[in-house]
Amino acid sequence: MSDKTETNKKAPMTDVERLALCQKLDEELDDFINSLEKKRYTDGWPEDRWEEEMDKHPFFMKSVPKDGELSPLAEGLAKLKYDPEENTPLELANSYKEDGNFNFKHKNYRLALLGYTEGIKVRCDDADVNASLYNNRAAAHWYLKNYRSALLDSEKALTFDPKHNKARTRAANSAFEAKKYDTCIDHCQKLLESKNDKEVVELLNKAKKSKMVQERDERKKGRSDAKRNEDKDELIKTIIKRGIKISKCDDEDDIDLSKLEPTLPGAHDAIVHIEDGVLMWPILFLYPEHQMTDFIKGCPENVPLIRQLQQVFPAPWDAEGKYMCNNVNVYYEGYDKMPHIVDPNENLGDILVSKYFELKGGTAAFFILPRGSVIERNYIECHI
Amino acid sequence: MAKDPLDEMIQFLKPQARIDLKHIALDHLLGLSGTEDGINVLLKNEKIIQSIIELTNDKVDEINKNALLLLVNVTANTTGASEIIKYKPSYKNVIEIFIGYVLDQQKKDADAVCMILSNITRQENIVEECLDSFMPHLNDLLNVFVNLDYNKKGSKLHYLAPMFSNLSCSPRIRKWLTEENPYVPLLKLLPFCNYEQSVILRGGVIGTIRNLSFDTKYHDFLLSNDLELLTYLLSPLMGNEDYPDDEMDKLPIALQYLPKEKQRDADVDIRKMIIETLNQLCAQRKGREILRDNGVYYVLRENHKWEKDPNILLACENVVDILIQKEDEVGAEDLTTVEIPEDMTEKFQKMDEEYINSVK
Repeated sequence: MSDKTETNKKAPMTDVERLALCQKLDEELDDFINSLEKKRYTDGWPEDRWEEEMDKHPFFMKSVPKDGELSPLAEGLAKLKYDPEENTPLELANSYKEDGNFNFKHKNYRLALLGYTEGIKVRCDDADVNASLYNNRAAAHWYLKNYRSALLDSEKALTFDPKHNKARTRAANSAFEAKKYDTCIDHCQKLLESKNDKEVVELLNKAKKSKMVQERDERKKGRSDAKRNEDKDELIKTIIKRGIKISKCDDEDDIDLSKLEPTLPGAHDAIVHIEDGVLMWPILFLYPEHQMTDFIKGCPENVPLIRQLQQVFPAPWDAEGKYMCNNVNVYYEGYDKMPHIVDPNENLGDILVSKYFELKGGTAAFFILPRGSVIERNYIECHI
Repeated sequence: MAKDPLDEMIQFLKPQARIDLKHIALDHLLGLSGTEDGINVLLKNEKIIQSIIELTNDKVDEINKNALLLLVNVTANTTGASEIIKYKPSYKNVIEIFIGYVLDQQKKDADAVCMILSNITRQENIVEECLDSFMPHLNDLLNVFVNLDYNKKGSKLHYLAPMFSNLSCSPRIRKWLTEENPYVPLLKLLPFCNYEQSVILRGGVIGTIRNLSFDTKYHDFLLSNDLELLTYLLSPLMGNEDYPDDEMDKLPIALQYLPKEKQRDADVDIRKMIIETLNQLCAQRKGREILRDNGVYYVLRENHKWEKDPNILLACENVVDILIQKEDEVGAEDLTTVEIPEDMTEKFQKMDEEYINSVK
């Protein structure tokens, strides 16, 4: 076997040789690069519109694009920010809070509400953050003039941080606007325990005054309500005392104002009332011959019925002058469904207590027919 | 010199004496204090009085109580009151000791102490003498007074009210009542004008206001808007009577449309004091105008219809007479400066008596 070891040992490089080698490599690289195609860099933002482009980039955008569409990148970032799996509750709550604050600053109070509400829903453990969320939501409600909600949220904030004076101040102001003066006074007094604030003192005095006025108004209403009920009771009592029979009332206890309400259209304010102890009734005169009626309000019970007839005769539809006080008969329809004649010279009150008389629709109705006429006979006969 | 029989008692009244002996001795003395003569006998013996005062701090409650009751009787007597305040058992004088009891939440029978203070202050000359003892504690006493649950041993401390009323005879007290320090004391007292549970308390507070009203320089303060004095003063004079709407509107808001259950104050003296106060407030033109603007005339008119007591009817008419006139008819800016000749005074007094007798 032949052993031919090549002892071609290379000699170590000298510095000069090393330098020469480096230079040679540099030159080769330059030649290579220069041999490549020359192309312009076009992937970046155009020089003249770089700010515009920057605003559209999700990393740098300052506001949501007008059409509301987010690029996938922006959407992805947003999802990341609000992803419950990527964030702790505290981080989430703070993110939502920031979101709310952002909208609040731009006076988009309804959007701010949404942000804060989401933050609240997270129910993170941090009392300060929760207090802040409720306090801020209260502020948003305040500017939207939802004073009750502002009050509720301010008070919720106080449950997390009872020393939150801003929240308490807002609670006091909201309570005032919502007319809950006792609540306002309570909060004001608590605020004044820690600091003597002139504005709070003013609010406290304003609330005390408003409360007094509110109480006075309630008393006033109570009184007028009581008076109205008293008058109603007095009226019913008087009617019962007269002994007038009212339709649809089985006995005295059944009588109430609704059964005395005149049923004719437009006659609502004509309901019977008392003046100086005298009952004033609405009356209806019916004229079967001409299919006409006369409705008279406020006829005193202590005045003869004929006075009312004198008011309406001669009637405009009575061309022939047939209807005069002394040649007409006056009938009422009793609860026996029969016509009964009355003497118009009697007082209205006495007529109302006639044997078969029943007051229907709170109105005394009388049929007027010329005495001895065919019409009259027909009227009577059709009832038999 | 005859030996004072009471001297023998002294040994039984010492703090370290046997309890049953203390009891018997004190009981005997308490009985003695029930009569004027008895009080005079007691007062002659300084050491007895001293012992009794010391016994007000005894460990045994019953002894305390009797000692205090004894002092109530003694101070009810005018000489008794002036004598008592001279005592200075320890470094504190008697007044300071009593005030200390009132400020002690755990002191039983503090009500008796309040009665003692009320008795003592009833005389004007005494008030000036012991005012210096009262001054440093006024705010504390006021706080105790307004705190209805202050005393934890069942004392209501209502008699502090007449004490304040008596004190208000002094100009220094009136000054304290009306100045901010840090709050105005009178403001805290006012709501008690309507304290239904105690005539004594009501009377004391209203008495205080009445005394203030005798000093015209406080009228501006009394009738200032924030005080709402008329709301508190007029309420006891009003029942559930009806006023026509235009009159109702002038009354202070809290007095408008009072509920059906409202009743006038049943106590004659209180009603009288209120009307006297209103009378005083009529002294100056500004006061008269404010009273007229707040419908005081209407309230007095209705009150006159209801009132039966002749003295009050007269007092009522006096105020109404002033309010009913127009300003030029009244003729004087400040009625307190009008000089009345003596014969006229006699004549007026006679007229008053006749009126009162005629109403009876």
